[in-house]
Amino acid sequence: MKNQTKQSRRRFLNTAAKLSIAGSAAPFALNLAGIGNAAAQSATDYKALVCVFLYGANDHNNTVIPYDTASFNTYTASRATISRAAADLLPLAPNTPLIGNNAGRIFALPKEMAPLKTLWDAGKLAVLANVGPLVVPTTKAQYTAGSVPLPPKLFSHNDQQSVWQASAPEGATYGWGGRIGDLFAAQNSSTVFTCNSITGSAVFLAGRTVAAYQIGTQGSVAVTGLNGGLFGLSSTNAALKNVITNGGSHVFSRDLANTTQRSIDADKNLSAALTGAPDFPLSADLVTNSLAAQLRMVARMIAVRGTLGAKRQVFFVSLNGFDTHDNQLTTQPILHAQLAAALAYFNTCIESLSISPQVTTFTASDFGRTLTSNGDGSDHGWGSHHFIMGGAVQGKRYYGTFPIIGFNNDDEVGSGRLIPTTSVDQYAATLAAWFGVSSTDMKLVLPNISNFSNTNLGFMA
Amino acid sequence: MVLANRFSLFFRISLFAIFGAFFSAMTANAYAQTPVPRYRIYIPSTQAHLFTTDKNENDYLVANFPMTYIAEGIDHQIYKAPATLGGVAAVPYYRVYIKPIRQHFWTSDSNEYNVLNALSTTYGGEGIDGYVFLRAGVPGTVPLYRLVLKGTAVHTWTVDQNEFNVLVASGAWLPEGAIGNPTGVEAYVFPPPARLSAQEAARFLAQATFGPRMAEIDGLTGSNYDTWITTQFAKPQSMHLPGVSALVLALPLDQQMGQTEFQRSMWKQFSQGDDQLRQRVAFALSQLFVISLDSNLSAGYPRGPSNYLDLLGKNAFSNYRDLLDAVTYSPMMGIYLSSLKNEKENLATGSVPDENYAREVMQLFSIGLYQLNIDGTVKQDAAGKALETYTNADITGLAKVFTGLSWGGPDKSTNRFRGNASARDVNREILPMQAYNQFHATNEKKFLGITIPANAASDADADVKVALDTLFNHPNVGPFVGKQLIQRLVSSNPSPAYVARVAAVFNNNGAGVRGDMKSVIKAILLDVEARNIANTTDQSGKLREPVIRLIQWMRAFNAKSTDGKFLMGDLSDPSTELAQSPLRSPSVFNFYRPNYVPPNSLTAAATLVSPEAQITSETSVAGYLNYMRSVVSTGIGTATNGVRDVLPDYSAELALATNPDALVDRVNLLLAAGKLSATTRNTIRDAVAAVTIRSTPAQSDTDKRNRVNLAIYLTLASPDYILQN
Repeated sequence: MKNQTKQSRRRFLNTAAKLSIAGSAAPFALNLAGIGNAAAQSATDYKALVCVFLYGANDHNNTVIPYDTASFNTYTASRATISRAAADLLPLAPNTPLIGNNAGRIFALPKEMAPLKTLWDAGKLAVLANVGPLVVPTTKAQYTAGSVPLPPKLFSHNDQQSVWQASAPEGATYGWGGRIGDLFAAQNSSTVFTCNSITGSAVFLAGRTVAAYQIGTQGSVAVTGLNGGLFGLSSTNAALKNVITNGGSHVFSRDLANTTQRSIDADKNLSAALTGAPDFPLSADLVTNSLAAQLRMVARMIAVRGTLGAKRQVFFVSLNGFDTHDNQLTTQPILHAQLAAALAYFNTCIESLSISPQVTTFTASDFGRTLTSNGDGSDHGWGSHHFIMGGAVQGKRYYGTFPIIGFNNDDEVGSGRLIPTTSVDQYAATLAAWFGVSSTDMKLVLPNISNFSNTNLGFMA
Repeated sequence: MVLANRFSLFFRISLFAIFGAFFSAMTANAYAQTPVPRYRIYIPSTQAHLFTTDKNENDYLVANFPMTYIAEGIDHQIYKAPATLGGVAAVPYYRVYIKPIRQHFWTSDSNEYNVLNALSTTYGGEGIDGYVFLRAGVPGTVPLYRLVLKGTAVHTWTVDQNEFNVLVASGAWLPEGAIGNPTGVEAYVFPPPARLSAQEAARFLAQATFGPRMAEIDGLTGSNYDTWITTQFAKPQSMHLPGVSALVLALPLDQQMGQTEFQRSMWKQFSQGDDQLRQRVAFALSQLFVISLDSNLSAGYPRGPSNYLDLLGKNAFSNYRDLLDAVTYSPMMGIYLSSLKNEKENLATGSVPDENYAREVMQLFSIGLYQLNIDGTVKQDAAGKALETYTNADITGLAKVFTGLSWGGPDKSTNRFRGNASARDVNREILPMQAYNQFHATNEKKFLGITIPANAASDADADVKVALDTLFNHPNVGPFVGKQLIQRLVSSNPSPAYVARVAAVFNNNGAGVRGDMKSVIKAILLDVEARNIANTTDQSGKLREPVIRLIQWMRAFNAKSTDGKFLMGDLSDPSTELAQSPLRSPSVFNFYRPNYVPPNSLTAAATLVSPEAQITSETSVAGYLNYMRSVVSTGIGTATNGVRDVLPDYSAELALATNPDALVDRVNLLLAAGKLSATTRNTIRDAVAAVTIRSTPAQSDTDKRNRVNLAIYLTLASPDYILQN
């Protein structure tokens, strides 16, 4: 624990030293200065970032599937027992053909993701190839020689979820969604609605100053005993309020009391605001789709952004169950169908609000998976392919660099575990820049971003 | 009197026959150096006293012959086995039977014992009753006075100097000390343990059980932790499988697939089981060796998860190595982490062994990611970088070991391995997995510095044994598992010294045994850091998790199921329920991580961790408050005709309803071990007192019940209570 903190601070110090021409300014002072500058910026419009986290690690190999004949044949041969049939694939024709090493290649979605192909064809969806955590650009030779720093605890679920979200393994206390929130919280009349999770605790949304607000798919929950009294008694409201917000002397109970106070305050605002939100009903095929239910609440909150006084919001939603060591060909298509249906539904909700260019949704996941099959599933990998959706996305295009399919090549480190060719920091920086984070503030959000020369991948308008 | 004395003798013999073996087994291990309580019982008819170190004898006699035997509690403590303290050896303390008056007599003088024993018509030597110190000066000991009733053979003993003085001054009793000691002092013994306060007892029971009942608090204040733990170790296990099986098999076939009955069984056994320590530790282990009903186990295995939890309960008091074995071979774990039906590499298809179990058994069940010192701190290299325990190559190596395991059954056919319908044993979900060596990797397996050479006749069981032995003997296990068990029972942030003390017991229980769970549990609960009731630093204590809070309410108020089956289900919804339900973690990483730091918190600023805070959110705090409000007033579980199945018994609280202070103090003791702050306690008292009790009986009953509801609900709602410290 302590050790991890020390490690990340050391890495931050290195970065800060590289960045700062003046040299050795204390990093924390640098942070504060940066936050101060950002607060002086002002946003007149509204923007929202929505992170869709695919817990368990989505197998990218069966998500964005090699489709040109040569790649498809290698793909099939490489994972005979878990490959998808050509007949089940929906090729994604790009506006701009792939070039360089990727020239001539084409990729396809599995048929369960048909709603995403519709979005792709409409130019609202882009694919980012082989993205994953990196500290610095890394080649196989460097990986093998151990000559560059690598992300900590590769291939471990909980740690890589954290690295994706927070550039540090489990134990990290703030993520890049939260750090973006730090920069913009002052633009919102209620800072509590800056970073919102509809799926429980996630370090992604924790900032240095901004705390994530967690709500359920039905919205916030009122403490009922605070208004109507308890057990038919009318005189108890104040006593209950006093008891539940008195944190005592221990930090655990004080934190709990603070969370309770925040819950009460935020609910007052949000419950009132949501009465004016469209219902965005879930159709019969979506009522059991947990991701759609979460995105429904995101859409409803965005719909009442004016009432809430929100200018910049970050949301976190998730779909669980992607750890397909087993039964992948049964499990993953179901999840893919849910993911695609939920994203399409959300896009429809947002378009109905006529703010599609102001809401960008993107996927993230623990890691990619092995190309090798373990019989009926796949194992933990590293780089993966992801989707970006929204009216401001330069869609119907592939970004990044697709790997060579197969084994014993420079793109993989065994069993087809991909060395990312694009870092999560580059992915995040592109989104953050669109959101309004200045290039000087970017290092506050993404401590390693200066290690990468290309900080904008170009998928946002 | 004659009859009673014969009974006394009879029970001494029979009880020794039953319990003697148990205690002599104990003397061989770590407890040999711990003095045991010696009870004094008064026999009014003769003015004599009986002394015994056998608590069962004491309890039996005073409970069944209250006119003859009067309990006087623990007079002092002595060793039951040879022992040395401060360089001084304890001497035998002999027991003699005085035949004419049918009484017992004790002496520290071996010469006196031998002389009396020789007079066999009058005296019967009964051997060594314990070990005491002959002379003063051994740290922690006090004088044991011996007196004789003038003109009789009736003796008595006491460590109470005042009692000794009063008896001597009465002129009826004469001092009879050993030569060379102060007047009347026969030996030196340990004073009785300080009587536990009700708060101490309640606090201990909150750590060691799902929460105390008032009778249990009372029982423990009159006893001691050690005895309580020993008694709990001996209790038969409250099982899930037999009850669940009977219920499931009685259902129509198409309704036999879910987890409804098991879920009810968990609520029932956790709240009602008399083996509370085992149940509590089993629940803790279910958060370390995680399987979840929210997974591919949700349907199709109505009995398997019951059996899995029974295995955790059984092995809670066995050895960690047995626990690791039971978990590894469980087909439920096999399904959850896909080690069941895991096949060796296939050159034709290019498939390789599944790495899932190999990875998680190391990361989560045994050694963790980083090399640990015995105190749980992370080892670092010269550059300050954490040293890792394994690489991905170790995982691919170990993955080969866990190939070839699949469903149990009478043969090892391919059809059975694959689970094909033609070869499914009806009990396969509760049988351990078995080895199908035709699917087990035969090539070289390297992991953690071990190499199992290539062998065409590789045996999965033999390879798994090598792997689990290797993991079990890794120096990380003690601190890794020990610290997490401390976190589940006692404290989120144990000091390194506390972790080291527990890990040392894991490594060696004092009798050369590694992984002895009973000793580890005892070390955790009896550690000075766990027992320090004055804990006032932020480093101590933990948040009570929601499941524990609910079950604590059930126990504190003796909630009973009208149906008998506890018709309760999944309570995971954070908006309307508890945000947690037993065996329903979202993943193998449990409901919360052991090193979770709530962001932007005082906890983070204090550089502390708070695992349970990971399921504490703006939504869950409100969901909990609303849920418990309903539970406190109307009970819990499926309702029949508007009445819920599980209802509390508030009779003891209702009897105090007219006395708000007494009512609030009772609830405070039961739920919060008396640890509500004065502010919270007084707020609750005032709110309770503000409910007017009206005059008519019906109104009065309603008002009293409202006072009780209010006292209990406001306590359960308070952060003071949710902090277990």
